[in-house]
Amino acid sequence: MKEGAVDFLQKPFTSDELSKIIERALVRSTEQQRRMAQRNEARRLLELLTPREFEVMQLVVTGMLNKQVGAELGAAERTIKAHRGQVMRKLGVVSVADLVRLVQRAGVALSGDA
Amino acid sequence: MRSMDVALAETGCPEIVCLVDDDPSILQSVACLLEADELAVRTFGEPEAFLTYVKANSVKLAIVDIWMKPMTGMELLAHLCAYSPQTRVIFITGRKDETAKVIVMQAGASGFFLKPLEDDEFLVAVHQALGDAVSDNDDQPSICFAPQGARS
Repeated sequence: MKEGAVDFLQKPFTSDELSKIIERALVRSTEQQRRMAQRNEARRLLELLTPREFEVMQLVVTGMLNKQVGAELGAAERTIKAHRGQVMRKLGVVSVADLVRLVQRAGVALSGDA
Repeated sequence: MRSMDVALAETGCPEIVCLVDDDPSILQSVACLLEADELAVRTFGEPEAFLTYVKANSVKLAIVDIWMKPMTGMELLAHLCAYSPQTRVIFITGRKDETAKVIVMQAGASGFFLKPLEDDEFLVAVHQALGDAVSDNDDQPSICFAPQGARS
């Protein structure tokens, strides 16, 4: 099943078989569109972040504490806290778990430390 | 990149602060403030939903709006005294109301703040209530305000 084909039918086939396959393909395509829409929405939100906020977000989703993020980015914990609040506000999430899910939905590659 | 699953797993651990307000924008902004301070938050748009939660879970701190419908924060406090006396409560309100302040503080509230919140002051009160900071009256049990029949 390559090159975008979703199924195959061997001739001769009944119209019933054909319609079943069409139906399945439609379901799959709807599902795909829904995922794409979610991905685009998540990306749109992430684009609202400033480069600095994006950096902070990338470290926060790894489970780092503010203090650790601050050390990593060479900024005061207080500054990180403010950025982190902004990230949450802009993205409309209220927990790190939500934030992680949003980033996963966006499917963006995080350039975390190697 | 470190695994994001680590972050997901860890968020289950920190203390959960419950936030009860019927204004979604306040829920969001206060939650962000607390979350940025590394506190795990659970938000409730309805006082009843919070009461259901508190009956089944141990909650150390709740941040509660005073003027909510159909149940005011003060009524909620009375219920809390019956169901979960160990839960500390910090009130937030949009109205400058000295009477309400006196009543809830006498009833054992851990704080009373006007919206919009003075962030730093508010966070200090939150950490104090959670017992993070050393405080004189840390061991003092929270006093309850006893609506008739709620306590013997």
